[in-house]
Amino acid sequence: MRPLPQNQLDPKVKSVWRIGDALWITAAYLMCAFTFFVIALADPAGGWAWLVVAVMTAVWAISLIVAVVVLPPVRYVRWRYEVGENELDIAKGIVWRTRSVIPFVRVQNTDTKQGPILRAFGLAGVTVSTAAGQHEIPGLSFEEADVLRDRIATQARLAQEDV
Amino acid sequence: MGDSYNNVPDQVLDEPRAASPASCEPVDTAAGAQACEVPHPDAGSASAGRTAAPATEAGVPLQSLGAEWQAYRDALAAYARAGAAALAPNDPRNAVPASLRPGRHAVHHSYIWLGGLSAVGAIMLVMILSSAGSIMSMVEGGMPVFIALAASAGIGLLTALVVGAVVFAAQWLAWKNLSYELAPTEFSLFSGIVNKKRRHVPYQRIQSVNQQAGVMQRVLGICDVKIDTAGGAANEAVTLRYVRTSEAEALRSELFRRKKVLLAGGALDEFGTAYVGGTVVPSAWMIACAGGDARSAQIAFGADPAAADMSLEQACSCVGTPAEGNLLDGADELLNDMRGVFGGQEVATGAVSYEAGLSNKELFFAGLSGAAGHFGVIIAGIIGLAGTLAQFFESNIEAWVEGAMAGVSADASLPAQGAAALGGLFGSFAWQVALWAVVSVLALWAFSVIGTIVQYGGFKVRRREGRIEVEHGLLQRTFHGIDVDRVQTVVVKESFVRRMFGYCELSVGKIDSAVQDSQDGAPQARGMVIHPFVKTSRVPDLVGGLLPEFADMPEQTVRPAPVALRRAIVRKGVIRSTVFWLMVGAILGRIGLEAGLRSGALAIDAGMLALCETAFAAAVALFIIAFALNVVDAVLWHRSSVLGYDSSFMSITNGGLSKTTAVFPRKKIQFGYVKTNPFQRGAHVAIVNARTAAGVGGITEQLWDVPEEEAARWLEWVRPRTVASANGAVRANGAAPADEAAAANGAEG
Repeated sequence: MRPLPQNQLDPKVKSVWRIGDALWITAAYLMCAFTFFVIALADPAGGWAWLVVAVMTAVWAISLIVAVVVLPPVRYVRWRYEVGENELDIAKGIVWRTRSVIPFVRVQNTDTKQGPILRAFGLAGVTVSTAAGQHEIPGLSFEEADVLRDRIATQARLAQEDV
Repeated sequence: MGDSYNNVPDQVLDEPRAASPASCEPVDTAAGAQACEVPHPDAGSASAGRTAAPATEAGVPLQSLGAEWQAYRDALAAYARAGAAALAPNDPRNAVPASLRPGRHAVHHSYIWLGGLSAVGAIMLVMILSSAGSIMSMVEGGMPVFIALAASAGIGLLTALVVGAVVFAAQWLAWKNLSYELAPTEFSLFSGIVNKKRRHVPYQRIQSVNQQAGVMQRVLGICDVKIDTAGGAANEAVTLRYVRTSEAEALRSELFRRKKVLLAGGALDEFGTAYVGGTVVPSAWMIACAGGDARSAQIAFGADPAAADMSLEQACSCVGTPAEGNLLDGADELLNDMRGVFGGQEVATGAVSYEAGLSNKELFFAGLSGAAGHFGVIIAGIIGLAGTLAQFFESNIEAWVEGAMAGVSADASLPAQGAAALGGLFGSFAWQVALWAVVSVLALWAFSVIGTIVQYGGFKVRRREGRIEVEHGLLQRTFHGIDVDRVQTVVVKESFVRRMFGYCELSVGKIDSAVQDSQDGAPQARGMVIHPFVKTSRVPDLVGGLLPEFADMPEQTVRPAPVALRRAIVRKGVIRSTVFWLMVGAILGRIGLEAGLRSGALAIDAGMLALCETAFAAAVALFIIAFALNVVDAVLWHRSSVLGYDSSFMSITNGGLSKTTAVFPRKKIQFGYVKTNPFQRGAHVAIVNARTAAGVGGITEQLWDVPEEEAARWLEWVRPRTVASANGAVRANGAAPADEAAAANGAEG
């Protein structure tokens, strides 16, 4: 059996995940809890609304801990990739683990994407699209992202014209 | 050698001379007139005048010939160009279908009136339905029925006229602004009244060209053409509505011809004449312009006079194997031969190498199994109808139920007694209702069977050159043509019912366009059905004839691990079984009910309790039956599921009560992955997933619980191999050929 792919993501990606997930969870929490918070303030007999807000806050706190403390290191350890000569090799997943092989000749296009959080850390995400779905490598340094994209572009040019 | 070389141009010279005076007449340009005067070039100048090929602006290399030939070519081009704009009624070139001529073409004028008529019809139907209510209210308001009807009919007629005028005007404008063109590199569709829209389809991107005709369209000899493309995110089909059948046929073969030329590295000019390597294949239009003399057109456009006659493709329709027929085929042939009012002459579109139809038995069973899917819809309809009726007679039923309840609560305290009393009261009435429901379900189902049989009437599947064509439908005609190199998978599906008869459904997976119109939604549920009901033993034969490229199935060797059986029973019988979760819900409900009754928080009468008891028992019974079935399914799955791969193909069979086998080439696997969950890692098994581009956005062909090391070996097989690694594998295996095929064997062995 072939060993796991060699490369790991940039360690900074853990912070990107932390910030991104924390923002999402908080946004979702605020959206859900806001209504009940208003009800609780407006209605003097709204003890139940306070209960709901309390439960939601607890859920929010727990998921925040999971997303910030527990998950990122595990995810980081599990996320591995390797840009081979002819294929991209990805191993990832914590519960459901997948090992994918994407031949470069099937790749239709590659995109480099950078959100505000990734940009703050000087990272980029590379998306590799085939005719049947796409794969994203979330945190790469600029240079690595460019190398990967160029490698894929060269290989893809050798491919057949069409599916 | 020299003799034959000299003989050819003589023929070449004679025919243009005969054709030219007639063909020059409509051209009033100086070039056209001059061309008639030009002494025709002879063989000597044709060969001596040839120099190195200069490239024209279009990038098409033209061999320079003698001046006479060049003048002839210019005249021919001018003549062809002028003819494309307008054609005299007696021009012999009228025989060429309009879609093969250069320039933009409009679709048939039935676009205006037939399209308008159906739009008006739909609008009127909605209006009549919505106005029914107001007529009723007028009648209720004291107006005599006769006057109310007359008034609404008058208003209706007036609105129909106005709506009709508006719709037809819009349709006419749309028709005026709708045109298509076969450009040298792409097919273009121009549309839009205010917002002009153009869509360009590069010929190489064409997946399939389908054509479809409703009953009216079929009578008129008109059809809709749908050009499927694949690639990019907007995977939309281009639809060309209301095209004459002959033009559609010509368009289809022309599109595939152009695609073939471009894929072979050739080029096309504005008239569709193809240049591949050194050979020139004049388009049908150019041949017609040369007065039917293909050879002189070839030489004029740069072909070597000696080789000129060899490269012409003869389009003949010669059927190799006689197709099996059925009762409806005769009727279908009759309908086809009539071709409709505007159908035009049948266009030869290439040689057929294999053809198959449906026998009487196959047709009947195809109808039966096709209608099986309608069963649920019918039952849902009946239930809906019953609901409406119940509402209608609500007061009656209420009174009746009240009476029944009064009787029950008067003399029944035990649930069993209550149920018995209820049953007695329902009695004969319920039986009558049930009988009627069953009879109407059967009648509707029979109709649906007949409908499906008519839909499959005239079913034909054939291999024509590089494409597969499927057509069917006695009334509404559907025609699919797909290039073989665009076939992603071949799927053999044995549903439970089909399996009992030893039959299966054969279909090919292709890249479906994102927007499926509702009309052909059903038969395209999974790819393109190339035979709805075929004996399983005949499949290799059929695939060999239609798709020789897919005929060699790889030997299937990789089976799920022994532990997979236990896992399959748990998965199919419990975790993924809806009935199991239904029963869990029932048990929870029951516990809640019991607790409620014990504590006295819940009061429920005896009849209701009896109903709850019955529902609970039904849920449990259902689970037991479903579990038994699922266990059988799991055992069968474990016994018959297998995957195999060789140098260039892979196949996955997923068994069970029904069985599906998918075969696909290695080069159509977009990517492969192996997936595991913690339980699988404990049992050392994994899911093998091969993703192909078939369907909309791709389909995953998977096999669960393959031994870990087999899955890893398979993933190595998916990995592309370089020459170096291939050689290494060959050396290790001791095999001779150093191509990719051998490398795959190396990976397997």
